[in-house]
Amino acid sequence: MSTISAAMEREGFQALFFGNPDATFVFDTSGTFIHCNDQLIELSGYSRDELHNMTFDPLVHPDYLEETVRQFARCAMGENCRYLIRAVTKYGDPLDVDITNIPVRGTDGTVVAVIGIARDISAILAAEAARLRMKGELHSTLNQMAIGIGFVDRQWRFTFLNDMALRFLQSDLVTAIGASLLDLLPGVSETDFGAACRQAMHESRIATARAFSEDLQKWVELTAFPTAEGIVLHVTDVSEDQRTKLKLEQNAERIRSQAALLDASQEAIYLRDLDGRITYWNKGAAQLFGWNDDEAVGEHARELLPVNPEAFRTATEHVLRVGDWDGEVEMYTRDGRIVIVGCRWQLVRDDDGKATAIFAVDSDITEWKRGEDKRNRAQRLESLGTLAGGIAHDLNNVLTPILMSAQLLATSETNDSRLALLGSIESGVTRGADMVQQVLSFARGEEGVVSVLDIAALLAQVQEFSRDSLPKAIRFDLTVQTGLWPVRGDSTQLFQVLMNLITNAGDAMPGGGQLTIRAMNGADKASNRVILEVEDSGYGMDAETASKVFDPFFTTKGLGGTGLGLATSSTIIRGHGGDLDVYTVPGLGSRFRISLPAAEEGAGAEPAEPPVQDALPPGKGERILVVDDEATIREIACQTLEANGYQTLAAEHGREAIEIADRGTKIDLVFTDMMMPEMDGAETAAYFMAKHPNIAVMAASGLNANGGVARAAHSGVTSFLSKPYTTSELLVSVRETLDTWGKA
Amino acid sequence: MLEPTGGSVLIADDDSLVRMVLRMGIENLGHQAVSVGTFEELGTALSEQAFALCIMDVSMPCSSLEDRLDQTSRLAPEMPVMVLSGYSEAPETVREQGLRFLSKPISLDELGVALAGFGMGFAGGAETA
Repeated sequence: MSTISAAMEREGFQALFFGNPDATFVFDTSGTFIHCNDQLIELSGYSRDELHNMTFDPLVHPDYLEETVRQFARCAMGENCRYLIRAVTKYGDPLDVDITNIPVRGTDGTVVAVIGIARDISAILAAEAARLRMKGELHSTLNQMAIGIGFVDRQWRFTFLNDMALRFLQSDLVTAIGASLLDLLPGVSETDFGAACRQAMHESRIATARAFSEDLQKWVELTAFPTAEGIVLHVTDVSEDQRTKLKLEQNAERIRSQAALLDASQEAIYLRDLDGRITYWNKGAAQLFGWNDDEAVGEHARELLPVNPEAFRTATEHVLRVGDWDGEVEMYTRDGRIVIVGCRWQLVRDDDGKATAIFAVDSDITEWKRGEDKRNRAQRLESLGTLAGGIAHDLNNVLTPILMSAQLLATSETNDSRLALLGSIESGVTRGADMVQQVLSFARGEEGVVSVLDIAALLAQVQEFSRDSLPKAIRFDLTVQTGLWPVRGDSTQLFQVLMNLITNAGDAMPGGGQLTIRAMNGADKASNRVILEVEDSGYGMDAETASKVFDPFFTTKGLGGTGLGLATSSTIIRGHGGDLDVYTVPGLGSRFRISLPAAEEGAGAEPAEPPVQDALPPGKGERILVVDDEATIREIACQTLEANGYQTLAAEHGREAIEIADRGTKIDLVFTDMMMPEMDGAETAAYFMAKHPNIAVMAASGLNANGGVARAAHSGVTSFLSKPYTTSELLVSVRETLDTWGKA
Repeated sequence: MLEPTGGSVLIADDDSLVRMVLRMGIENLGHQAVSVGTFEELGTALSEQAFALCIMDVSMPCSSLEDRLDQTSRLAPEMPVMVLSGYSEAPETVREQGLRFLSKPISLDELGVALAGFGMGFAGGAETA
């Protein structure tokens, strides 16, 4: 004991014993504590006094006591020992401790005491356990993944492979772990995969390769990620994906090979993928929409075409849901026109039934749609005519006995007042019979005598006749184009129509005014036409009235109007293969316009005007926007201008014109009609002056009413052209306007 | 009362009111008249008696104008026919055969003028052969 005590006195020992961060203590050979440092007190929970003369037994977990006793005995015999046990604190808490026992020998060499050092390793063991648990979880997670994952060290050896990776390699852990990548996949270094791996390993960059792997006999996508230890490989089987892609390419190829066939079609045929991106665009589509295939392919259809994207989207959704869609959509063309398009859309599916694209066959039905209204009206008139005819027949039978009875009674009547009564019955019946007569002629369009007519002669007759019937306060102007084409028709009927229009014109100008009749040659797509216009400077009509004037039994005249004059006129003109239309502005007047097909032999034999094109001032590629609600006039103006070096755009009314201009379309001159149903010339000109002051506005006006021209002049019209105008008048006027405008 | 001068007139019309006023009108003009309303009655009347003129409506039920014209030309080839209609235009047949046509409603004067055209003037008026 004295040895220990003496040793404890030494300063070096003191420092070692008390300064040791581990619990340090001295036993006598029986295992009883002699000394201890503060660390043991702290670790065990016992006080210094309690530890003094206490054996180590209470401090050792019962499971480890036997081992502890055995190790201590060895040390007491003179051996150094180190072992792990579980200790217990005063409060019963277990501690994992690393024990070192060192024997202390006396001067005679016998062991007199045992030094013990106890290091608490609970935290280290817990951390290790957690690490192991985590590793297990990680492995199980990696093994459940559908992609192959492999860890490769810097010597290209596999250090880890998940189940999927082993399946790809058709190998097992025992074979693969530690084996070289190059041994397991001998062909890999020559492939894109090898290059990707090297890039990740040597340049520390993520690299991806997709190719058919000869080693694995599959289409594979490999991504190599650099790590501290080497690289991690992600491998995915993309065979399915690749098959789809291949099929899509084959489909596209097939469609391309059919393109020649599709290009021959008049219809607009195009294909868009499910994102709406155009992938195919035939010549018909280029023609209809104005975009060629280079411009259209790759664009989103909904951004390029529809006027109303919402309607377009609804239709597209219908295709995706149901498989097809038929309908009408308004679409923009490249030059900003709006066309009504009849659509047949079909969902395209691949061999597996998966939707891949929308196949569209579209056609321009704008003209047809506009004609539809007219056709509907004609049909309505026809059925009304049949009905009216039947009623008129029966009415005549009813009127017969009334008329004759009244007259028979009158033959033997001498009482004056009774005779007057019978006279009123008779005149009532006569008036009724007249009205029935009108209904009948409306209903039947009365078959007449058809011959080739000289319209100029007919108009002279009409003028002569109406001199007597029109009030003197009405001025009558008649303009007939020289070389007017003849027309095939019934002179009596056409005379009736013209007289009817003139009577109406007179009724619209009770205080006098200007009546103008014009006759000129014209043309539409189908045939040469002779145009007759009857124009007044009277009340005019609002749009609603104008839309009904041709309806039978519609009248604005109160008592005396049967409402059949214009209906009958319209029937007669249609019977001649022509059209009767009205243009009117409230407060300015109305223009009724008859368009009749020219008689073929006459039209072919003598051209109306000798060609004088050489003398006409040509255009210099300027772009003219032609605004007229009458398709024939619009087309003739456009054709004339284009034939003489101008570019043209067309709009049906002022609103369409300003829409085109507001989209930023380049326009040099707007040539607008003054009388249009929706936004007239004056309004249009005013808008252009305010919003597009650098665009010249030229107005065509047939209305001689000074008020109209004055209003238009105030609204910003640059120049006027009075209707009807000849080709040379149009070209001279356009040229002058552009040149003057340029200088201004 | 005027005396009949040129025999009697046969009226064929399915409308009884029209039949009545035509008969009265003709009588008022000084002639006699018999009226029938069907194809069968027309045949019976023609086979029983000779008439100076037949006034025939275009539309009568159950027989066409052509049928009736055939019948009259068979039974009374010498008798002139004047056709009457609620429509304002004469049917094709009438125009082809060059028959006199009147559209309803007809006045007493029109009737008188028409009869005179067939040699049936007023009894007291200018005598025609």
